[in-house]
Amino acid sequence: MDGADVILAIVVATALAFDFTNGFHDTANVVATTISTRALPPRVAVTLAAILNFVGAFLSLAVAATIAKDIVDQQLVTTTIVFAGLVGAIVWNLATWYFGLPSSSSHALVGGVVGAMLAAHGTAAIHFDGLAGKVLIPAVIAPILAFAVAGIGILVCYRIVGRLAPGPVSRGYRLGQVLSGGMLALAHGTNDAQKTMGVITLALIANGNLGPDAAVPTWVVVSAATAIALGTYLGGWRIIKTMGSRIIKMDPAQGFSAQGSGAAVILAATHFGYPLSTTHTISGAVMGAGAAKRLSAVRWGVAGNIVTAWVLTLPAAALVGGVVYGVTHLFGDGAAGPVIVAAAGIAFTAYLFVRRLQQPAITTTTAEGARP
Amino acid sequence: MSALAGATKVVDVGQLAQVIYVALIAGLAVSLAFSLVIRGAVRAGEHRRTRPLLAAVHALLASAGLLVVAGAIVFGISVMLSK
Repeated sequence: MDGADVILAIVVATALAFDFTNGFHDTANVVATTISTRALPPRVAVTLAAILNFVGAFLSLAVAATIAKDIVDQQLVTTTIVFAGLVGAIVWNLATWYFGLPSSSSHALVGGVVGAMLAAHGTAAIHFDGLAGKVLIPAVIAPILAFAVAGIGILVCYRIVGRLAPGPVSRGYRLGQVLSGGMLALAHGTNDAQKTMGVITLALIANGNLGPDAAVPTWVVVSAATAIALGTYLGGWRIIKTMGSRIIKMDPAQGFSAQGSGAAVILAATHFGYPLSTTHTISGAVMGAGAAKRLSAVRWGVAGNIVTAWVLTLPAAALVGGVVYGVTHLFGDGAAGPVIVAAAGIAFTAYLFVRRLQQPAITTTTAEGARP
Repeated sequence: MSALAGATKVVDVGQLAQVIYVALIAGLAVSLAFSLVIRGAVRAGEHRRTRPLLAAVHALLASAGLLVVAGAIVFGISVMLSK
């Protein structure tokens, strides 16, 4: 095994680690409202989400071809740049999980790769038009659109079922949440697992293990699907709590409106080739469903923290990606840099988890969705 | 103004407008249809014994809503498959 093969092995492992954090981090998008309104018990909700994420990863492989397409110069991407970008994304995902803030894993990955590219090749390697058109503008549109759709949607719901007995209405909307949550989990598995497949395939092509037009190998599909499903199953409970009960205290109709509107917005936008961030869309929808009922129902301080995290995602992941590329570059073009950074990353992550486990667990009640 | 001009350069405004109105219609259609399913089902249950004709109308309304919701699910899965 030569140096290039070692770097390839590290990139594959790091990509799968990113995929795991992606599932772990984004579980909240799919299950937070379902758990909060007690449509499903917490463990059942995350298990269902994990299974549907796994299945979703097999639905389509059409976009599992390139990473940060139209955003960075693809010809200049190397396995070391991909590695640095992945580390940037993982670090941002872990930092936002630590503070219980929902943020886009996809934007973190793009940010990490852009930062590494900037460090390696300077601004000439970045397509700023693509960055604005594919990342920045959709990041603004997604939450505003979802806010409006869910806000009007909940008013429609209340108007139609307002005079009915609350018991059967709540049961009905809880069932609707299971359906809309299932759609979101499938869509998430399809979209996000493909990014990891794309990263691994790109690394295999760059290393000469696959031809330029090769299909995504089956082992890549299975391992990416497994990593995202495992991350989803373990669940980022801090972010689930933020999305499910810290932004608003929601009833089943609001939960359905947020999730159903969010799923409809994401899939309608995808149909027109305009992919929106699941995290931004669902967070915006949760705020919209709360604000339409009563403006003061939304905890705007929490919402402000979330928006701040969104604004910081790209530059923070880019900064880490750039620094990691710089550090690996200090050790030359061989495998030494990635090996040292990967070892340091594993040690830091282990420290973070141990420290978090030693702190008191998040206070949850059955009503809010107890941590099993 | 220059920021707006810059934004219109990198974004296909027509496509964006299409995304916004289709997402708005799709999202509202899902909320409306599912709420009609609940309303129809609850009302049909309430009137089943006393006013069977009215119960049948509500059941029909619930079925129509259910068809729209099922259509939305099929459309969503087809979008995922065709991407």
